[in-house]
Amino acid sequence: MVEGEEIRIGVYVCHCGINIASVVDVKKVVEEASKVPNVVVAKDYQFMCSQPGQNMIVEDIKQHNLNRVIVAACSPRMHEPTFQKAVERGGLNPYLFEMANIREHCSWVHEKEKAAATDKAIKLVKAAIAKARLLKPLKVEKVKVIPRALVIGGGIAGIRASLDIANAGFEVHLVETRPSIGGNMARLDKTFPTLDCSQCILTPLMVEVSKHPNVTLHTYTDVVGIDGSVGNFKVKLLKKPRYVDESKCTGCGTCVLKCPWTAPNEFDMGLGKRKAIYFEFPQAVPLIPVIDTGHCMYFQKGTCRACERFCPTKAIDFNQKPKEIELEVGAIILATGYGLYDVAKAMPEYGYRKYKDVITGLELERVVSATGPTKGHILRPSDGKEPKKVAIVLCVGSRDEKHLRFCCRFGCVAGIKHAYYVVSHIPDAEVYVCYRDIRTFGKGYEEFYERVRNYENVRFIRGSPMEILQDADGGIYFDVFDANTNRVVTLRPDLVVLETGIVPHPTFKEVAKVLKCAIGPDGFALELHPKLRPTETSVDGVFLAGAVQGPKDIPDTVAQAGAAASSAIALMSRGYVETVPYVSSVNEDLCSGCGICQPLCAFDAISLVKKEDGKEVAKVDVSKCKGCGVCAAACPSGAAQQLGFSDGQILEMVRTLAR
Amino acid sequence: MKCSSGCTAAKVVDKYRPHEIVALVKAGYSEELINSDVIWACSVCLKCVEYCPQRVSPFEVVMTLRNEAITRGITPPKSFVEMAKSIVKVGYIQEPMYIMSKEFEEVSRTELGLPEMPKPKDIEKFKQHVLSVGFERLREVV
Repeated sequence: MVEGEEIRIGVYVCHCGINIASVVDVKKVVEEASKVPNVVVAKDYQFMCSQPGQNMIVEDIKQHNLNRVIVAACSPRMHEPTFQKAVERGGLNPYLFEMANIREHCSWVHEKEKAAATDKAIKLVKAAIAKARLLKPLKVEKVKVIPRALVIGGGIAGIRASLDIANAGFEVHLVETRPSIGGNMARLDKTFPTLDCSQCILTPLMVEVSKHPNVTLHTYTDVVGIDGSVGNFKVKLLKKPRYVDESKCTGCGTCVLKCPWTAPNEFDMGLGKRKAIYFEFPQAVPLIPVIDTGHCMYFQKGTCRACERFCPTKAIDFNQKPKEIELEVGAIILATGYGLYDVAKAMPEYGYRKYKDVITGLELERVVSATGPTKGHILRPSDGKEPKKVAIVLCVGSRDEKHLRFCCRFGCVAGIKHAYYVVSHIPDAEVYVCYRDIRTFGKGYEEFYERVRNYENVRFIRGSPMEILQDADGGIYFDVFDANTNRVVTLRPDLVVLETGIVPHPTFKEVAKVLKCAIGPDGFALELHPKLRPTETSVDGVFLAGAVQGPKDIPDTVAQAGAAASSAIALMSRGYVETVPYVSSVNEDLCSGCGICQPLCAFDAISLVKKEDGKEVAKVDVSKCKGCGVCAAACPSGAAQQLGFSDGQILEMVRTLAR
Repeated sequence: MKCSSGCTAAKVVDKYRPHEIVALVKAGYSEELINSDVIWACSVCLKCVEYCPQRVSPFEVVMTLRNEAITRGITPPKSFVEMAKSIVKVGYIQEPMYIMSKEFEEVSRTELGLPEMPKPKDIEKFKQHVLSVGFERLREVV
């Protein structure tokens, strides 16, 4: 379009089948629109989004020499891109198109007031015409995507996503805050419903990802900063000191053997002990120990140095410092996983941490594990005896208006699996599973439930206890109402296992803050669309894998990790992203440099820069600007304008509507 | 059904199930309950309100049913009436007497070093207040 050229508008009113036409008199809308100055053609059609509808626009642009197009139909969220492409095919800049929403904003909400709805549709179309006169062509720019991905979190989700991206030929940096990758899955003894050994199916993947030529592993490392936007993220990592030189250490374990100091073992959920210099677990990847300075006598008192003395490769380095690592990546996958709900603090009525023999499901996994604190024997923590009566309580904190409103999605089957653990380790034990509902929705889960339900010594009680108490002899007991028998039963178990609810991993909050990605009301990362875009986030180029998005079992986690990886691969293999043109633009002549807009910008897109003449002005980084319009609304001098939604355009629409 | 698992009254009155009362009211069986003795078993410990995972308050449902019963002139069970009478008379459901030890020995509060139970200072004034907050609706007490 040339400046000063005559404005020629085409208006197209859609019937949307009967969605619009049954309420709005479309013929009348066309008639009114055609009377407005600058409108050259006005037509109605049954489905504007159909191929013939779009072709009509393309043909009319050429035949009538149109330079503005308006479609009055559904929400622009639905079909704006469709019509913009049609306009582009007709040879016009796609931003010389305007949409009037006469479906969601009109026919659907005014079903019973047909005449008024028609009037409203006419007004909306006239407002669109008024804005269309002032439309200017906008430019879409292509930005290169760095062909390298960052995966945050080294659990099964992060490992799977990293392997998929690496196998597609792209470079991956996998970051894990703990000394070893593996995550929560590494803690499990067996996985339901097939009961295959968790470590046996996980460790090959851990080794594969660590040896992959395209993968760089950053263990014992935190993400401290992320800047930039899709295609060009600048990431800052902080590698915590292990006090062990990774290039010299062979993982022989002599230091661990010789270390005389112990501390609670976090990997065993605090049940067992580990040394002050320790491997996270025997199959840790990388197999390099780390010194816990809080329990190391050298760091506390300046003496000992046993590990240094006995290390055959002189790998101990007490002077190691935290190391900053900077990376540039094109895509990010968030896979920070989950942590357990703090039942000890939030639900004191269950006595967790107060009574030694009340443990969580994850603690039972460690107890059952051959590498756990009891070497795979189920022994209760209080006296080390084998429990003969075990109660398993489901929905602890989950599905509770006062705690976590959502279902943890694996507690039921985990509880059933835990009942299996007990009866397979202690054949003469009795197990009571207290449940509210059993949800065995996954593949093979119901069959597994059926199998365990048929064990004579596993009983399912339909009801949850209100509180767990201790009697004068120190034994624990609780009453539970069983809806199946309509009786209150008193249980005196030797061991109680709480299937606790889950929350986002504690590290997620910090990462979400630096990334500025949206968090849902449940505290987990919010996906862009719950059904159709489950792996994308509100930040372009940042994808979700696993329990960071919400509770998930292993099959769902792995499936989503694959989906997130393929989204990242698609982005990197295309090699570029198109910028959204609806960004803010500052007129430097009008800008007084007051800086009001800068702190208001939620995306850090505005900075104040000094011009050559010394004047300070606001500058918009278009790669970060999301076009929210906050700066334009706040600017006292009208210097900040959102392209495609300028003050002039919006005021013209308002004037028309008010007429 | 945490309410019925931990209900103090249910431990004594087997028929009393808070979850069942809520379910019956929801299903439209309020009439049946208003005329039943079961609604008078609640001991107002409020544990059901505290622990219900759905923020349902069986206690409030039971109180509403009781109020409706009284409004209609239905007489509560004798035990409940006796308790109400005792409150109006001495300020307690039952006058505190002694405490039974684990060895079945009677011990007084003073022997245990416990303070005296507080009593209404002016029993007449207390009676007036108790009556005016709803006890007057209970014919048997007045």
